[in-house]
Amino acid sequence: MTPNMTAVAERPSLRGAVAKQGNRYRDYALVAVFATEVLFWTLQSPAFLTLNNLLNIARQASTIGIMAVGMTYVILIAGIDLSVGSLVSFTGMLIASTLIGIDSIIAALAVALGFGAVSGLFSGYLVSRLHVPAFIATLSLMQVYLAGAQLWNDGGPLSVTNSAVLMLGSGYIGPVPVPVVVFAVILLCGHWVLSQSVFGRHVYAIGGNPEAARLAGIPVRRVTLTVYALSGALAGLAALLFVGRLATASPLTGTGLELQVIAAVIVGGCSLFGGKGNLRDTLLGVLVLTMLQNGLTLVGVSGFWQNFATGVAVLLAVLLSGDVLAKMRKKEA
Amino acid sequence: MNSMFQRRTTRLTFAGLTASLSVAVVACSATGPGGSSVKDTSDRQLVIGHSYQDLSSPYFADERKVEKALAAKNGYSYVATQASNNPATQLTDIENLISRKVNLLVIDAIDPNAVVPGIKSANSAGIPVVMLIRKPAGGDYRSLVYLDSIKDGATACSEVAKRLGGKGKVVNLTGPLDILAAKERSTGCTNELKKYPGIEIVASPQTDFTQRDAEQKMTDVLQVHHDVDAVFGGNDDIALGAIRAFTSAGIDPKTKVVIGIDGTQAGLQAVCNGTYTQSLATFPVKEAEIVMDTAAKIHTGKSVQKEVLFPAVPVNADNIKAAVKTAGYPITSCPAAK
Repeated sequence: MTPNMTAVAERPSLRGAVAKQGNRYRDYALVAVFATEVLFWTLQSPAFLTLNNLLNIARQASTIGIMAVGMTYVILIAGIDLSVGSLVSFTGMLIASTLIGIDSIIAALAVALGFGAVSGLFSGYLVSRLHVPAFIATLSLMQVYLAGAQLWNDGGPLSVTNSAVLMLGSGYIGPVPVPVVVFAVILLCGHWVLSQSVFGRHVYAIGGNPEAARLAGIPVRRVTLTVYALSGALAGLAALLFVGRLATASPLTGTGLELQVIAAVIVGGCSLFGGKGNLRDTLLGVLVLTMLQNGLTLVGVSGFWQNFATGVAVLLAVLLSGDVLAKMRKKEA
Repeated sequence: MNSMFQRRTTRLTFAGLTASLSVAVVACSATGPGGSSVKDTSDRQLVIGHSYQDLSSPYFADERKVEKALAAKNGYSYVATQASNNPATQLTDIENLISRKVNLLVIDAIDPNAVVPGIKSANSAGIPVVMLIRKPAGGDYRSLVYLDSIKDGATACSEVAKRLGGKGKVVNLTGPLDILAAKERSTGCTNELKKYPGIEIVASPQTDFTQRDAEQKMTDVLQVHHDVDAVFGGNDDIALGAIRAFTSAGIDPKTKVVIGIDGTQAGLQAVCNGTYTQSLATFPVKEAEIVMDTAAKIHTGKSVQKEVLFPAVPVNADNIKAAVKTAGYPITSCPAAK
């Protein structure tokens, strides 16, 4: 490593140290939001704090969570990936068709990760080389995949029978659902890379100040490409898990998932302007939102109030755990 | 008056602009020569524009396929647009179809109020309008092929009650309640089940009409009510999601009553497999046939009925084979058929 690069690689952690002062409230606030929610739903419904339901929540959180790991990287470099929801639908159709031809989970996994990564590379190329704003680039791809998923089988679903794929999406290892294990592995790897590796530091550096990062010799384009490819590949993996869970690939499966994923990352305190956030908080964000949906259904809140409650909860979580409190304190000081 | 005219012109210009943007959507559904190249004479070729709610739904996708085939067979030109369940997009779609000079407009209204300006535009452009499923709040139409969603919900749930012997726990899994048909189906079901004191609706979660969401919500419900006896699904996808949730929870769906609405291919396949008790089917093929027939009549100046009820047929193990044949679905194995 050149001395220059080391210097910049250190910088984000210095920034981090300065930012930590302000973030201390946030660290506790998010955990407090999480704990309050657990307590609230436990008091509201006797079915909430049961082993079965906790595993149910973990399983539901796992697919969103896998996508949220990729999205955290993307948002850390001040990007956004709106294509992931439609990508799940489209990759699902692709996986189901592959399985009709080659009835093997290896083929399905290769197609899922491969197509997802290629799609991500394409977004990354549009963003880093052609300087298309990430919002526009991935919004366009979102529409393309949506149309593609619908056109694939004339709007109809494709059923999936491969037992290994069904095991991956619906099976258990002991009492633990398989998707939860997959999510745990990805979360830990993602966390290690982000907090310990040079690549992780580059991600923070680019999010903090892309121009400074470029001048310091950080391969901004390559990191950007990798980050989008990661987000795409993880969406592909989520698609495979959904296919295995539902035993069917439908062009509707991914509808609205991108917003759920982005909401989870934002509730986790990731800054849309890049450079700030981590995977522990993303995990909390995912769990806070999943428990909310779960709790509302358990308690029997129906209809419009579910949407209303979700909106209010996201806003509250962001207000409590985001920069707002820190900024208010700064002003007072 | 003047400003109204101006606004109107602006809107049409805007529609023209967006037409080029949405050309990808239109182009992939268009068959035959483009409407714009045809001269506006009374004996010109019939150009049908169909504004759909959402083509990602298998029901509408099937209907479009049949309409497209029928149009090609009869030498009509056919253009379909879809609005992804967004009423504002649907208005733009309708304006686009008018700019494209269709001479018959078929509208599957997302919202009976929001669609009115589009119908009025078609009225002033002299384009006859055929409305599907729901009655618009205003504007003139030549024919309305309507479904009674409240009645459908009631019919489906009276079957639920019958199969449960008037006693049991029911989950009413609804579609997005901002879609009127979803809301009416749910209301129809709820009102019907109120007639049976032994039946309790234990939960009515809202889903986004996807199997993924329905499976998730149903799994949540099963955490509290592991002993539900029946599910009413707002459409086939929701019912299939609930069936999958039963399977994943280790409950054999064949032991439960699951009743839904639509009669899609995937739905009828599940009836064939014996996991899905009954789907109240409104066959897209039938709807497409009625639409094309009405369109041809209007075009040739024949009289058409102002309101046509589009009948829904309950499809279960007893009549599944005949239903599959009517629908024209390529379903081969049907072990549950009686």
